[in-house]
Amino acid sequence: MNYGRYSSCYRPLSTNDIEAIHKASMLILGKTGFIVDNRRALELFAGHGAGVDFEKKIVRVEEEWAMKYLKKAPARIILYGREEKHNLVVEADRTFFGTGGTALNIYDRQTGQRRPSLLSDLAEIAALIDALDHIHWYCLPVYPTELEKEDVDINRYYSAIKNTSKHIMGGIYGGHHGARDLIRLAQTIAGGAEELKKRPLISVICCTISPLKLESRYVDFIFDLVEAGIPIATPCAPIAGATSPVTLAGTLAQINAEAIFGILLSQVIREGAPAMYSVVPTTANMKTMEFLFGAVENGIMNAACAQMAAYYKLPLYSTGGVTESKVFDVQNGYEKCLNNLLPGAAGAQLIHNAAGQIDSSMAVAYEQYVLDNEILGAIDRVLQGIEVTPETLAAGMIDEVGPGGHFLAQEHTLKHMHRELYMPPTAVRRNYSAWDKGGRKNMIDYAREEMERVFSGHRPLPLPEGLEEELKSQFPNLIV
Amino acid sequence: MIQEIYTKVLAGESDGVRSAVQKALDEGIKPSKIINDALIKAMDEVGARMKSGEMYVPEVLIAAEAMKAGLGLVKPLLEGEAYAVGKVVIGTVAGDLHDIGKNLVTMLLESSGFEVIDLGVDASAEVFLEAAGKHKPQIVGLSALLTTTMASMEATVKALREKAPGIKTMIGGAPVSQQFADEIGAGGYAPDGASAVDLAKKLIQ
Repeated sequence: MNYGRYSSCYRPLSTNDIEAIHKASMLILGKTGFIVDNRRALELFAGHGAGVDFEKKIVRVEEEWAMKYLKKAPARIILYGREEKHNLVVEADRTFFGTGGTALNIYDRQTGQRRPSLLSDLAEIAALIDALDHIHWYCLPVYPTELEKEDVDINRYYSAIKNTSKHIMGGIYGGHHGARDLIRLAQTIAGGAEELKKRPLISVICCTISPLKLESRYVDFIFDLVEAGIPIATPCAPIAGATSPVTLAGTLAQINAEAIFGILLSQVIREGAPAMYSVVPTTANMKTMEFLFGAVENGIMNAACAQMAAYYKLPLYSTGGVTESKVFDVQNGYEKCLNNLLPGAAGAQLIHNAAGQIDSSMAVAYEQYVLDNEILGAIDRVLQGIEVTPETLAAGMIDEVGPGGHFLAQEHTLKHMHRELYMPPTAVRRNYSAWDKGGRKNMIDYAREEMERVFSGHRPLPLPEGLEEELKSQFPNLIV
Repeated sequence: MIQEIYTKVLAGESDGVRSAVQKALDEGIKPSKIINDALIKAMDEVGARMKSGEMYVPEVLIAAEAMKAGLGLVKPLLEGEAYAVGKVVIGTVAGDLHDIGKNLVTMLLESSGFEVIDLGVDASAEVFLEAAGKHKPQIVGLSALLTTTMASMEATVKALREKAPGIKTMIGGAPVSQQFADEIGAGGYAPDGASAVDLAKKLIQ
């Protein structure tokens, strides 16, 4: 079991701010309400005593009602992988980083050219991140553009499960049977419906639309997923200045209402269903109206959302470092670092989109996973903080070494150096002449070497014998 | 007075534009002159300033509001004179409920003098075809945000090409590209709102 790194040291909101945002969100949910374009959900809300305007398809809930149903949601979710060490305990003040999507393009591993993403990319990225320690779960990063829509869901998830033993999370597109094919696939892999409920090895992202709207098809998916016991994230992605107020506080009031509403829906379907407080706060480029995934305000808002989720004692799905840059440059590095560090330092629990994406999430790049894994390692070092004990203070040893001595050959140095000092695998840290003689390689060159090393040397844990054949017989359109 | 209307539109002052337009009409300036030399000309300048990054989108939209306030006074006085630069039918394709991008393009097209018929979201190929038959636009604009709705964009463009071959199509939205436009045979692709206006102007020439 992985309990994650204890975090929460950056707090952009005061206690008063949190209360004020809560009150504003309650006003939004009670007065403005939420459009739910789904008859079954409207009836369910009405049956539970929420205010429903069937004609306008609007659900309104009072604070007392909202808090009562919010409390039914579990404060802790465990996301299971295929290996015990990859089971993630998701709760307040512990941070995990994951990949994210869903991009349509990928920078080809061989040519570096941007091309449409394929099913084989989902498998290869899974195998790559399986070996990257600071990426804790696999959020499906790309859409297989060569597949028919009907075949997309089961093949996306299966290609991932087969190639990494880390937890799998992803979006859903639905076929003729909505989410049911995917659920059946997961149940078969888990060894039955009850086993999947006990140890959900997948979780599914069902998007809501900002401001304050739930689309019919996604509500249908949510019904089936919740009934199957699969943890869900219901993220809303308001764009400050465009689909929510330009003020960060205003966007937080709206996104908080939206995140809460997703949980409320899950709890009226089934009390105690695992659902995450899910947020993708973003901003707009006010010069062009283009959507921004790499703006620093996104990181600040994700950090604030970590505080809100902790206030409600809910597991959090938040959003990390995507860059607007199209290449591996300074902008890429600084946007990714800030937007992963800020929520990480604020105790955000699951931070998806933390690795792999480039170009505002319109594309992913193989080497980006290695680069981001290194940034996440540095952030993990920040969260680790400074351990102060008699052993680490080492006064006795300082006395032993004495003035003018050195610490290189001390047992103490050997014992502590790996834990105390982060060793980034690809950053260039040699002096000028060593760098010059070594072929003047930069971090990106080393990242590519590291990536090829993983591909040639690392083998993910194989699936149990016979499982693939069984799945193939049940799902003729499964590509194996 | 023409200059004053122009200046007030740029400043986004709806009331100011209204009173300046009224004064111009009282002075006997022809409605078509007010539209072309003041209102549309001002919006052309707004478009240029937006492209250069000098004006932000909210400023552009407020200028467009002011322009429309002036246009509201003048339009009823046009006796059969066509004022619109061109006519566009626009909508978000079937399966997609997102409309912010499409709404922005609509506002920018309108403020550049186009007449725009907005079909809203989740519009099927049939809805587009019917509107194309009814309104006889020069251009049909299609928007998509979800990757999964690119297929319905393709189907709609194909239907329009077959059944309304005289009408040009233009597409936009996060997942689409010039390459995709070429693949599905769309008349054009615009990566953002300002270039959508340029593209529309080019397509009607």
